[in-house]
Amino acid sequence: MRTSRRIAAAALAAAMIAGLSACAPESSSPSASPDGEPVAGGDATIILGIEAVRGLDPAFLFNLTPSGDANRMSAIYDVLFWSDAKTGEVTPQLGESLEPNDDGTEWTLTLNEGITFTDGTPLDAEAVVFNYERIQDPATGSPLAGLLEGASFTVADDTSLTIALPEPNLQFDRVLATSLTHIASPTAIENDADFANNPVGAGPFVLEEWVRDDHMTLVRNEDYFKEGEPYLDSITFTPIKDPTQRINTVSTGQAHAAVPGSELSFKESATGSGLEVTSAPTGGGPLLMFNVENAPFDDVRARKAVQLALDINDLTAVVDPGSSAPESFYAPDSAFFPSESMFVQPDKDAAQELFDELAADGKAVSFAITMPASGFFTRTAEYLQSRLSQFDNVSVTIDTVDNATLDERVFRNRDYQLSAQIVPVGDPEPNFAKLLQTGGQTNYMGYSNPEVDAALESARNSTDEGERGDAYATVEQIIVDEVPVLLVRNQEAYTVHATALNGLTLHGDGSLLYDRLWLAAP
Amino acid sequence: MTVLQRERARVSNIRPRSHTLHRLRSIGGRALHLVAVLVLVTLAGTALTDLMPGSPASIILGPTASDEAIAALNAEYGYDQPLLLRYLQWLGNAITGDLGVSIQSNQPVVEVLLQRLPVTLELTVLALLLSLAIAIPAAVYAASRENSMFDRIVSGLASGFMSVPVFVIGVLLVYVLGVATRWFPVAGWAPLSSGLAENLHFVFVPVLALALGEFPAFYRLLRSDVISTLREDFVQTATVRGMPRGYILRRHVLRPSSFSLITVAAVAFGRLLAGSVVVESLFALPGLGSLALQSIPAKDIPMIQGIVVLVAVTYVLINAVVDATYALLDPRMRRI
Repeated sequence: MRTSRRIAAAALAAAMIAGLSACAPESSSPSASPDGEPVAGGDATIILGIEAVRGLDPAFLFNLTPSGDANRMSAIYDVLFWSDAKTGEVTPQLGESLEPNDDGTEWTLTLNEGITFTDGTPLDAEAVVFNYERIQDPATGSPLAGLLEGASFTVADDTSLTIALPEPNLQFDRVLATSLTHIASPTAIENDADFANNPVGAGPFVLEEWVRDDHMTLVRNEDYFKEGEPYLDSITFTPIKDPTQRINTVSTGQAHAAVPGSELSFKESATGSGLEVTSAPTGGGPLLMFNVENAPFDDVRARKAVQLALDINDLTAVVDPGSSAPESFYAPDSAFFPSESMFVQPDKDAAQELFDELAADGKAVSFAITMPASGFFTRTAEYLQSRLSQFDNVSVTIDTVDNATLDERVFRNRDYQLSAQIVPVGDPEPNFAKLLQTGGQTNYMGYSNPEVDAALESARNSTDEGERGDAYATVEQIIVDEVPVLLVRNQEAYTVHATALNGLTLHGDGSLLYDRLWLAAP
Repeated sequence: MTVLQRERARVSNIRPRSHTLHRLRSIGGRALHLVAVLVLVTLAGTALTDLMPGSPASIILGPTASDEAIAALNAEYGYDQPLLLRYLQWLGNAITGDLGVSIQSNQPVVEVLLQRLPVTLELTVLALLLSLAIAIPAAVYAASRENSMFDRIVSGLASGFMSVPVFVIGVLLVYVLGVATRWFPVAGWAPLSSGLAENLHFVFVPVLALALGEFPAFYRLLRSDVISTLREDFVQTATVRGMPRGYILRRHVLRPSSFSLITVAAVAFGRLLAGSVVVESLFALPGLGSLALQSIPAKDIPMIQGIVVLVAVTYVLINAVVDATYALLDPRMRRI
């Protein structure tokens, strides 16, 4: 009895010591490249924020958040076209060209020749149409269906098709390059009921192994359409919920790159740990949404009062240190950035006057902030509550909800008063327009202004940058005056990575392009 | 035959029969108990998910879905049925071992649970062993030298660790053992199939974080129980008879002092199994905790029910094991 106990104790001790002395697995590294030219080989580990719980079906790309599915889909399906995360500029990849007719009612999409999915079937015009018609089909229940509502497709030959839109849209290429850019094998979709968990694309990598909440290993697609690419032998995605831990794994050499999420304060801690940051500062960002259909924010004075009461510079410093207050909805280096700052200086006296005026009219400003339970949003809600409570005739409560409730209450039923969402604006099309036009996909405020609609419409159907600039300046002025939304921080998509990882290109809302990633020797 | 011998013969004759009967009755009782607990717990689990706002279909289809699409999907999964009917349907399937399919990932619930259980089980067992390995020698030693320097230091440490939440301990350990020294990985998991050394290398820091949170309760309990046992007459007798101190502590004191410890350790085992959510999430371990964290906000009802069943069964089984352990430790318990 006693002997066996001793053996057990010794075994436990030995096991612990073995654990102590074991070393982290070393990833194989390619040979050195002194001139900075890409080299082939190497296995990269990339840390994301959330697991692809529902699988990887391109028809269910809910949002383009790089910490989730958009990164995985980019590796497996690649992109027909990609939009630069910073400028919104559209560049071909699997596709060869995407050209509109004169009025933007018809777009001709041409594919590169000879591309095959990893199951050997061709990625041709028929395959693209199959994917798009599947998204349109109400039976699919795709959240992207609205983007293709009323569109019809005609296959011209193996590599080209035309997309006829119900309304002119000269910016449709930006929509396609962000939300409709991943194409899956029709054969795999038709034959495999569990296709979402066994995705088949024509991208640079092929799914090899997937242990949920642990790792997803992708290996090089030997038949990838670009000669010599991808450079890496394999990519492993690992989900880690805690953003600090995501950066820790990279700084300790356990992983090569991580997507820290929406908070910008992690950028500083990453550079402090000697890591590189590849980023794409854009316009837009986290914004407060006022429900203009419900009291108290159906009265523009209430929205204006909140705008004047808040010092956004102070808010950014408190809520997300290292970020800044945006001067415009458009990125500082975009063609649409205004010559004068659109930032509204806080004016506490004016705000108090408005609050008093509303109270005198029997419309005292009393509202709930409905926010998701995540760090940035929770802190924003607490900040708003503490600062607005300093005014008379204002009362603020916080209603913290989970994402499912947020979906239902705010995004679907619009049963809220003040909430928030993040809208990155590279080019104002499509995100800015979706947010502000009447009935726009992310216009959860219920905001409607014919003047804004007309300006967005004219900007959409003009290729003249000056004309677009005037229209977007008009929109921004109206938004600053009427305050259906209030920007609270600048936006920047970024990926933290080890110096050895090169070739990072951010597309969409900040996902990587995987054909061009390469690893230098340590 | 003396009176004593006759009495012994009588006892030895009747004991086996009543013993067997008693055993059968106790096993039957326990099985009934298990069934009752499982029914109540899973029913409560279903009812609670029902109270959560939002329907599973609206979560699956996202904010842009139409009301008709949501109604159709709810009907497909049967979520438009009354609670009790849904529960009975689920129960019928569960009895045949079919816990359904995750409405999020489409994977069979049983398969997912079997994949996750080993991770959480390893974490729990190692954390419990490590915390006991710290608590037992420290408690016995401290109790035998009450109010000594050692006693005061370890009791202070125990109070300290008891008042620090596990996520703080976890973050500190990550910093010290991962980021600063790089002795251990900061997060992640290596299954046993990739080698024991590799597996322990990944699991050590999370295990330590849990163990440091658990050991104070064990330590304080055992220390006070040992102190009171040391005041018992038989210990005094053993001491007077000149038995070595260490021998008395190991052979005479530890065993009668460990009843409360075993009960508390068993409860801790159940709690760790169901509730190491924080540690699993901090260290990105693919166990039951992260699964629960993912399934509950997503209203993945079949998965939540599966986790509830698994945890409830484990709890009841652990209690049975604890009862059996009492009998091992104290022969008197076998006759009661």
